[in-house]
Amino acid sequence: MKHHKKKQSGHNNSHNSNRGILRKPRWKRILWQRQPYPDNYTDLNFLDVLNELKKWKEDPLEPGAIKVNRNNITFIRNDFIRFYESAMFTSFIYITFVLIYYYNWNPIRITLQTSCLIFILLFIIHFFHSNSNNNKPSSTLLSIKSSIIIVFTLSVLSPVLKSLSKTTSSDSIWTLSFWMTITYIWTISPLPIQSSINELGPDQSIQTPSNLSTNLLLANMAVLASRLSSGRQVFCFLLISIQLNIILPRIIIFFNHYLIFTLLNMIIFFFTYLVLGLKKTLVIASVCACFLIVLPEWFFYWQKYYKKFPLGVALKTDKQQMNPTTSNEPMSILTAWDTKKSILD
Amino acid sequence: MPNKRTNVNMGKSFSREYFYWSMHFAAITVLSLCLILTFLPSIDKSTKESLGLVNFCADLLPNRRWLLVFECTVLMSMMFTYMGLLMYNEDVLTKNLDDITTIIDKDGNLVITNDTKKFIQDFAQNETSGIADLPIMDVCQILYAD
Amino acid sequence: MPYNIAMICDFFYPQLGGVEFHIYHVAQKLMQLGHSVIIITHAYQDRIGIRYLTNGLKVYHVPFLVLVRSTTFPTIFSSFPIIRNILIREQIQIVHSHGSVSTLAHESIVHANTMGLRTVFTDHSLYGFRSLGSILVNKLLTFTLTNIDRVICVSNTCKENMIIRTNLEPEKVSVIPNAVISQDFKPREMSEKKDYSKSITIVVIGRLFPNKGADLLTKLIPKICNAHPEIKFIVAGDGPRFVNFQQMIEIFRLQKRVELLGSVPHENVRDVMCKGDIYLHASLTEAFGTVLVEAASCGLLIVTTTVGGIPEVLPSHMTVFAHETSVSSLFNATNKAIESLRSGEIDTTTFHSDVAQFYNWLDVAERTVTVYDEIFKKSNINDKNWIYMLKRYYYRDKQWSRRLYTLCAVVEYMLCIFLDWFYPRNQIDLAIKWPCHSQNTPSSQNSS
Repeated sequence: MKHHKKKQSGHNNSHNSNRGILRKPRWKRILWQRQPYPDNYTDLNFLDVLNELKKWKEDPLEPGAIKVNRNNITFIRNDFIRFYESAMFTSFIYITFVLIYYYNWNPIRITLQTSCLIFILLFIIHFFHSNSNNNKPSSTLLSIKSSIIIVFTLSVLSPVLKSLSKTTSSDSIWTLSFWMTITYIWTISPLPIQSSINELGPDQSIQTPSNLSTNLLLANMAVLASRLSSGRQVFCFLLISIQLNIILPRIIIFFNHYLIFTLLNMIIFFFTYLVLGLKKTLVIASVCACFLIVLPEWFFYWQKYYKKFPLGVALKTDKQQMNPTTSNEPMSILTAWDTKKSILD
Repeated sequence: MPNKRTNVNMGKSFSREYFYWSMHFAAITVLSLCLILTFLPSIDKSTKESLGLVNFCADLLPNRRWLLVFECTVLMSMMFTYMGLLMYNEDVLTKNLDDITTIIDKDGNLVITNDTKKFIQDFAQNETSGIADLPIMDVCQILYAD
Repeated sequence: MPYNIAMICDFFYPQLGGVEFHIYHVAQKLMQLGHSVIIITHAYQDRIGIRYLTNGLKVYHVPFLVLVRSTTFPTIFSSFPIIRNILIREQIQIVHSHGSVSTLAHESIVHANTMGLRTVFTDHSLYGFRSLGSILVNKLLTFTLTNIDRVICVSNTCKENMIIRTNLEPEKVSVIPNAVISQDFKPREMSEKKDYSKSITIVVIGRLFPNKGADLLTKLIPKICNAHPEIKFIVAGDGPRFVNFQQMIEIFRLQKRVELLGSVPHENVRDVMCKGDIYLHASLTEAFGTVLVEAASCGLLIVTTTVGGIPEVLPSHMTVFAHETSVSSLFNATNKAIESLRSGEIDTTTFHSDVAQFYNWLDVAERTVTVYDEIFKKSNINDKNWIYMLKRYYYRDKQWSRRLYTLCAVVEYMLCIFLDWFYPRNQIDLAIKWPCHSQNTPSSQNSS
C-alpha cells in the first residue's frame, strides 16, 4: 500500500551506545538490505490496512469509508425503487401487445391517445422550464427532425416486420420474448458491469441506457410485432412501445416521483387483475412487494456481514488523508493489488 | 409546480456493491431453487382446477425431470472424471519401461565427458549455471556401484 | 541436521520462467548446504520419468494430464497415489510447494499434511480481488493453507497481499526475496568512461503482454525518440503485442532506432542487456521483478513504475521511479534518467558489486533453512493430528465453504487409509540418496 512507504525513515540510534544499549534500527520495508529482524517479523505498522478494515465497520467517525449504518437504508430503498420502475416500463409493452392482439382494440386510437399524452406532458415541461434551456430552438428542432425520421422508418419497416417470423410457432416467440425481457432488465442498469469506478457524478439524474439495452428492447418489440396481423397494427404497436419505454421515462422525472410511481403501479395491477384474475394478481403483487421490501433488507444485511472490504467508490471527501497519492481516486482495497490500468496520455 | 426530481445520491454510489450483491443473490436463489425443486414431489398438472394457483406455479417452474437429470449428470461426470483421469494417466501417459523417453528426451542437455574425475568434480558434485542432465549410466555408477 | 526436502511445482524445466529458475537455484544451494532435495513436476511432452540434473538433483516428471498453460488437471485427490509413493520412497520430511496456480503444488500440500509431513508454501505473484480467476485462486489457497506450517513470500507487498487474501497469521509468513547469479550478469568491460551525450541505448526485456505494459511502451517509445534524437531502443521478448510494436516502428519510421529482437533465450539475456545503458520496465503488476535485479547487475540504470513490490527491490540511487502507470509519468522518469546519466551524478560501475552483495542464492537458501528449523523447533505433536486438522478446516471460512472443506478432508483421510492398505508402506522401496560432497565413493573412479 502506498501510504506505508512514507513511514520508513530508519534512524540509527547508535548514539545510545554510550549507554551500552544498541537500539535496533526501525524496520524498513526494503529487501536489499539484511535487517536485524527475523524474516517473519511483522512490524506494528505493517498491517495497518487490516486494523483499518476492522475499524471501518463499527466506527461511524472513520473517514474515507462507506459507513454501514442504518441511515443508508432509505438510499438503498430508493435505488431499488428506481430499478423497479425501469422494469415496470417494459410491462407496458406487454399490456399494449395484449390489448392489440387478444382484445383487438383499435390500435390507431391507442396511438393517438398516447401521443397526445406525451405531447401534453412535453408542453407542460416546456412551459415550466422555458428559462432553463439555453439552446432551445436548435435542439428542439433537431429532436423533432429525428422523431419524424424515426416515425417514417417505422412505417416503412412495419410490413417487413409483420412477416418476419411467420413460420415460427407462437410458443417459441413467447419464450424468446421472455428471455429478452430478462436480459434487457439485466442490462438496463447504467451501472458498470466490468469497468472500474463508476463515473456518474452526483448531479446526473438522467441516466442514458446503454446501447445494448435499447437494442434488446427493439428486438423484443420486433419479435412480438411479428405476431400481429396487419401492418397498421405493427406500426402502431412499435410507436406506442417506443413512446412508452423510451420517451416516457425521461419525461416522468420532471414530475412528482411518488405520485407517478403509485399511478403506474395501479394501472398495471388493475390491468393484470382484469386479465388474469384475482389470485394470480395477488401472487404477482406479493412478488413485487417482496422485491421492494425484503431485498433492500437483504442487501443491507449482506453489506454488513458478508463484505470483507470497502468496495468501489468511497466517500468523495475533500480530505484524502488515507491515500496521499497524486491521483484523486479514493482508496479501495479491492483494487490495491490488481493490475493497474495503463493511462495512455 | 413540477420540479426536477432531486437526486438523493449525496455523493454515494453503491454500484459495484449492487453488482456483487446481485451475483450473490442470483447464486443463492438458483441454488435454493434447485434444492427445493429436487426434494418436492412433482406437480401433476391434471389435478382439479381449485388448485389453480398450484397449476399456475407449475407452469412457471422448470420441469422437475430435467433438473434431476442435470444433477445426476453432474455427479456422474465428476465420478467419471476421477476414474478417467487415473486411468488416462496410468495407461496412456505412462510410457513402457523400455521406452527411450524414460531416460533421455530432446530437451535435456546431456553432460558428456570422458574424464571421470572431471565429471565428478564439475558436474556430479557441482552445480552448473544452466540446467543440464547427467547421463543415466554415470548416475547408476555413482549410486549403485559399490 | 540435514533435511529431506521435496520441491513440488507444475512449472519446471523445460519451461523457462522466474518460478522455474527460483526452484532450481534454491534446490541447488540447499544441496550445497548439505540437505537432500528432489523436485516433483509434471511430464513435459517427451520428458517423462526421472532425470538427474547436475549435482545430483533428482527431478520426477510425473505423467499427468496437462490442462492449460502447463498446469495439471485440477482434482483434489487424483495425485494422491503417485505423490504418496514418491514421498515415501524418498523419505521426505518437508514438502515445499511453489506457485498459486499450480495444481500439483496445492494438492501435494494437502496430501503431505494428511501423511503427517511438514509443509511450506512459496508464493511468487500478486493477486487482486476483482476478477473471477483471482477469487477462485484465493478460495483454493484458503483451503490449502489451512494446515500449512510456514509460508514464504518474495516481497513485503506479497506478504501483505497473502495475509489479506488468505487470512493467515502474520508470524507464519516470512519474506525471503529472490536472487540472481551475479557472475552470469557481469557488465561489459569498458576501458574508458562512456560518453552519454553521444548515444544512449534503452533496453526493454519482457513478455509483450498488456499487463506487462506493452501498450504503454508502444506510446512511450515514439515520444522518447521524438524528444531525444540520439536515443536507441532494443526490445526483446515476444507476446500478443509484438505486432503493435512492429506497427509502431512502421508508423513512426523508427527502423534505425528501435531493434526488435523477438524471443531471446535465457543464456543470451546478459548480452542483450549489456548493449544498453538504461533499462525500462513498464509493468502494471509485479511481485518482485527479478529482471530488474539482473539489469542492475549488468550496470544499467533502472526506470520503472512503482507497482507491487518494485520499490522494495533496489535502492533509490539505482532506480528512477515513475509514480503512475501513465505514459507521461514514464516519459518524465526517462528524461530524468537520461539527464542524470549525462550529468554524471549516477555512477553505474558500482551497481554490479552492490547487487552481488545484496542478493545471492546462498543467502536465500540459508534463510529458507532457518524457516525449516523454525518449523521443527516450534512444532507440536498435534499439528498433523487428523482431528486437529479437521477442526481447523471447520473453523476456516464462511458457512458453505467450511463444510465443503471438512468434506474434502474426510474423503482425503479415507483415501489415505485405503492407500495404506492397498499399497503398504513396507512394500515401497526406498531410493538411494545421492552421495554428499564429503562422501566420495571410491568406486566412481572406475572408467565409465
